[in-house]
Amino acid sequence: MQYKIIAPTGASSDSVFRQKVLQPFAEPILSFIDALSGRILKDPSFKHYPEVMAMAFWMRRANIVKLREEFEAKRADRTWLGRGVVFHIAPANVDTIFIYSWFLSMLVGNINVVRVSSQADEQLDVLLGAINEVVADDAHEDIRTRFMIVQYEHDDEITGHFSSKCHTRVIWGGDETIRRIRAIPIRPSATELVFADKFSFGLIDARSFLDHDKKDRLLEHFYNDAYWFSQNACSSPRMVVWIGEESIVNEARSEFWKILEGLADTKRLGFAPAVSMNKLIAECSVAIAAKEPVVIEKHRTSLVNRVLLSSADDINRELQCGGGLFYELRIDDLKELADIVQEKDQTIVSFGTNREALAEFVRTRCPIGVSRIVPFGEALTFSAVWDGYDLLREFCREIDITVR
Amino acid sequence: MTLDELFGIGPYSLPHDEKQALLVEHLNRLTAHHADRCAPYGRILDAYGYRGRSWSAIEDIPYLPISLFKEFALKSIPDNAVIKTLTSSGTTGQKVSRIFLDKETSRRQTKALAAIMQDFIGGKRLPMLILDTRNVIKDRTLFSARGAGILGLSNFGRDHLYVLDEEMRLRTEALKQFLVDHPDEPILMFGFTFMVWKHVYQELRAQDIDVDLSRGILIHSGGWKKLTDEAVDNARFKKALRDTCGIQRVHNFYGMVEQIGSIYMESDSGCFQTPVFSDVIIRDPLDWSVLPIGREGVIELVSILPHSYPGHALLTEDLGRVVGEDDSPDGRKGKYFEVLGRIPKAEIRGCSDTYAEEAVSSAV
Repeated sequence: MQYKIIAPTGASSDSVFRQKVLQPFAEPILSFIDALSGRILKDPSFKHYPEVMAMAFWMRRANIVKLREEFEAKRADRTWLGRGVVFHIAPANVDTIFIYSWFLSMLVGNINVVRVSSQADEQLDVLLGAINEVVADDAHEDIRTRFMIVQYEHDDEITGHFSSKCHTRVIWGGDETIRRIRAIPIRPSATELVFADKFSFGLIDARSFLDHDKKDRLLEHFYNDAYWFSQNACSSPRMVVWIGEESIVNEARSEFWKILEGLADTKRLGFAPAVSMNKLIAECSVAIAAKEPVVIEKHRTSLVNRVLLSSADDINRELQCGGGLFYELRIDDLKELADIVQEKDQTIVSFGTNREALAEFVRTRCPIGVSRIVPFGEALTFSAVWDGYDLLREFCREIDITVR
Repeated sequence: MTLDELFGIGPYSLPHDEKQALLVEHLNRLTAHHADRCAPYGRILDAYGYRGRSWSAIEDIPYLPISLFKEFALKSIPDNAVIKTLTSSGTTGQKVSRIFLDKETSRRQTKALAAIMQDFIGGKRLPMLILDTRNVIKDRTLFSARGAGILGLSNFGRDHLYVLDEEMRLRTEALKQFLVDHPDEPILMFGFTFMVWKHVYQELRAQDIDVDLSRGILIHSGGWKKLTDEAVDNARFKKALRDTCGIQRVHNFYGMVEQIGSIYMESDSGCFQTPVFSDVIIRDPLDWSVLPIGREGVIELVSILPHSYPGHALLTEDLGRVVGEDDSPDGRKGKYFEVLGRIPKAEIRGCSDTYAEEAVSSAV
């Protein structure tokens, strides 16, 4: 079996499986995460990696303590312990997801094996450099002995080896990957978390938008949500659902897209000729496949493409070309959203509808999909509750003690 | 001017204004024709709000991204009128374009190609060497781009000899005999750029075979992509063939299965020359606006030949630039352009598939 242990330096694969879990939020865990956060925030070479900076910010002690308080509040007087060894399979285009996955599992005391793909990635290299440097300090020995980051070309034998040793397997990275890895057995008592392909969209109340006086700021948030990962993240909005009557919605749409086109033209995040081409192909494909009339809006540049649908049945959630292609759909009332939402839907980036109305919608309409409803600007913000899993809870088992 | 009248005039005889006026008239007619007969095409025009409109410049004619022919069966004729289905060449696992031809489109393609070829090699059928194997044309019901190219060009030669056998080995003896049998005339040679280089030129060199092909006119196509590792470009290719077997006249041409017939032959400008049946437009991928002469962008090709499928205005996935217009040193009118390779693939980031992504990157 050919795999490379890329962190911690000099680790051996066998010793990690002999460790015991730590107590949830034990001090050695908090001090390691805090040290790494400090190391990254102080290092100017990370300035080029906004995602890593955002993650280091998430790792600050204040935020971790908040996570602990929430965890303890949920736990109350019950008894939760880490499950043991957690095997994380990170997405191919290594972003920071694998760190969140690993750290949330580590926080509740687990031993972690993280598989990253073999693609060279500069961001990963500097991140691993920082991790190896911090963990080399003997103050972090309890952590150093409880994790291993491995790198290998996809190989069922290696995946099978780690799968046979773990108590929980976590698969990030889409439907195909999940299908393939699920064919590889885990222990009978092991649990599994999977993160399938998702679709996310914006929800805007047209009247509220028109009345809003900080539209530029709002659109800046939406631009980041959609374009930061070139619209390829699961939580990047790929559609805008407008609430309101037609004339108001049309007025809102024209203002909204005009501002967004301006931003897109200034920033040009993720622009590439191939992406422009793919969007053109995609919008034509939608027009061909549509059962009801669609309108491909004229765009000033190929940075923002829009297809106005007249039926939710014509949303093709599989068609993912990235780079800023948006479906648009209008509804008269929030209630109609129930007919739009599908199992695949993950994040709604919402503006102009209040929390009560959204919660009421979800509780009474019971949609099969949607796992997050967040304000503009927070589509890509990682949360400990993801795709319907309360991750800290999922990484624990409960010991039911009924002795009085 | 009707299309048939157009076949009678020289394919490089119209200067800018006349050519544009002629093309726009035909392209408007084709747009309406396909909108009425090809439902998916009609739906695209509807979605853009272009149905029923006509345009005053060829740049304004709605164009389709060429990949749509890989995703959808786009045709403007009933199934029983299809006489040939062409497919683009593609590596295993890739989707290929399917182009449906009827009698009329096929006839137009033949006529256009004849006019172009005649302009370059004269009206007489020449003894012809095909620098490929007979195998590629065996299945006549489903033509590959390679097979279709060979069959199309074969019409301009006689006494054809396929110079490669079924194992792609050079048929040296047959080739020598062919030259003995045709001692005095010019010889037409056709092959795909990569095949010519790999299986003919390099074999002649490797086996130290001495043949005199100085009477040859070599026409080749297919692009330089497979040869970039060996740093072979047009100049080196020509020189190598001249030095090895004396070939003096070499014409590269650019064309695609989606617009067969209206091909772009290399003129004395050293670039691809647009004939009266077709034209090139270079677009800026940032907003798809038209770029002026000299600027590099995405190549759009318009052709007035496609009657059976909506391929009269296609945005290709190639990059190129127009080098000049109406002033090629050989007197041929029309724009001439160069092709600068494919649009580079986009890097994808995000929560995409672990394995699917790896498979793609290892294939590249």
